[in-house]
Amino acid sequence: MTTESHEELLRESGLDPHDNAGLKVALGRLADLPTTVEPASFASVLALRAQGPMPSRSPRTTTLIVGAVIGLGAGTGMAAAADLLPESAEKFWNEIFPDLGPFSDQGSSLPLRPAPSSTTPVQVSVGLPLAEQTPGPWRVQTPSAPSVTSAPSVPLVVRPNVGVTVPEVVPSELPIVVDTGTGEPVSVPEAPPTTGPPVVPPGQSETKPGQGTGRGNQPPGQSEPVADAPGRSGEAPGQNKPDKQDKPTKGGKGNGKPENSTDEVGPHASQDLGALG
Amino acid sequence: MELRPDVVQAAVDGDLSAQEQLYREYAPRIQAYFLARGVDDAEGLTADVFVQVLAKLSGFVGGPMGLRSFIFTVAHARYVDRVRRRRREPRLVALDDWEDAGMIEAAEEVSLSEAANVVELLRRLPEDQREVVALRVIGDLSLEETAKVMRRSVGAVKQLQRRGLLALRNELEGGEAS
Repeated sequence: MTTESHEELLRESGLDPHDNAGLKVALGRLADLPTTVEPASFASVLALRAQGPMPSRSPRTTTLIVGAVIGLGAGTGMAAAADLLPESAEKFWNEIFPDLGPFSDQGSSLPLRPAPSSTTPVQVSVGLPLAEQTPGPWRVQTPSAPSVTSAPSVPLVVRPNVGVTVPEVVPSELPIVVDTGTGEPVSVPEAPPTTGPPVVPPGQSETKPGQGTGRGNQPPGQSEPVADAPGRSGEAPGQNKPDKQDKPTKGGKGNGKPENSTDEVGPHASQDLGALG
Repeated sequence: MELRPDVVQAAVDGDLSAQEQLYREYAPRIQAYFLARGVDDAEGLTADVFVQVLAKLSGFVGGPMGLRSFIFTVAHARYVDRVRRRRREPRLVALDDWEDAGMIEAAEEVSLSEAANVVELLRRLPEDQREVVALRVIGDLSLEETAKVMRRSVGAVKQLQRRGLLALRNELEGGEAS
């Protein structure tokens, strides 16, 4: 918005721009509010989009999504994600990372591929349903520190819907274990990927036995969204099983709170947008 | 600067490069809009908006102006969703903020010298007045577009705008007086 536009705005409201110079300056500052949008964040948007429908429309989606984007600088990167639909994942991979070799999908999970150096920042993108259900803090575990999930060098703080940034991770053959804070880690299988779906902690996903599609390597009932049922929670009170291999030292509280009792009540504002576009 | 119509059309047709241009053009504005609305995770919500925008882009008709209005409509809707959700969640406060809670009054008396101060002043306005000011100034939307996004009449938006600007002026003068 230009200065002239600000003046016009003031005039529309019956205010003389010359008598309201301070207000005009304030509007100018508001219009130029500094932001922190990075070019590479577009890749995160695409990754999130590839994960499927907006979770706000189906807050209790059953598919637990743990994706990862390894930044190699602006505009390039590597990506891996669990529970992407194979066709979506392949499309995403080929369009965004055409130089990184063919897409490989050995199951419902994709491998994280080695990054060029051990100091390459790794961003782990966490699907919105999981991120919202479990605000964190989260931690990542790597082969270099298999038993240290709370190592200061790999703290994770979830930023819902965008992901988490790992300051320093050794990405080579990276099996990521994300401690969701419920005491049940979520695994992204190491490359080459295993054939099973990612480990889904109890309570993090709603399933309807026998009604899954059986798509890809996911057994029926593993991935189909279930309609929101306010007040229901998949997490039983007191569930707090530590990881068998690597016992998380923090974030293991499972309070049994029915998380989705906080889901939308009444219509989504965003659901009113159907007429647009 | 608005996107060229051919870029918008290419984005609608699924061209990834055009969609990235769209993102680069509008994401900062959307993030600024969320910042002005006091969203703590403005970056995350911005990403959320564009996930939805890209999903709905196919078949969009309306050109650059319509696209901008559409994106802000989605942003507004996501903001409303966020507010509703947050009302039922405990508010998270950083430890530093909590420890400095007693200093807030003093901090508010800081003179208006940066954009952050304007945002702070804006947050003191009633919700709907803030929305109008943010959409008009940051979103650069017309009165009509703002009315459409907010689902209000143009007259109502004009009234809210006047009241909002007057309130903002009062806040500014109050800050200067102190």
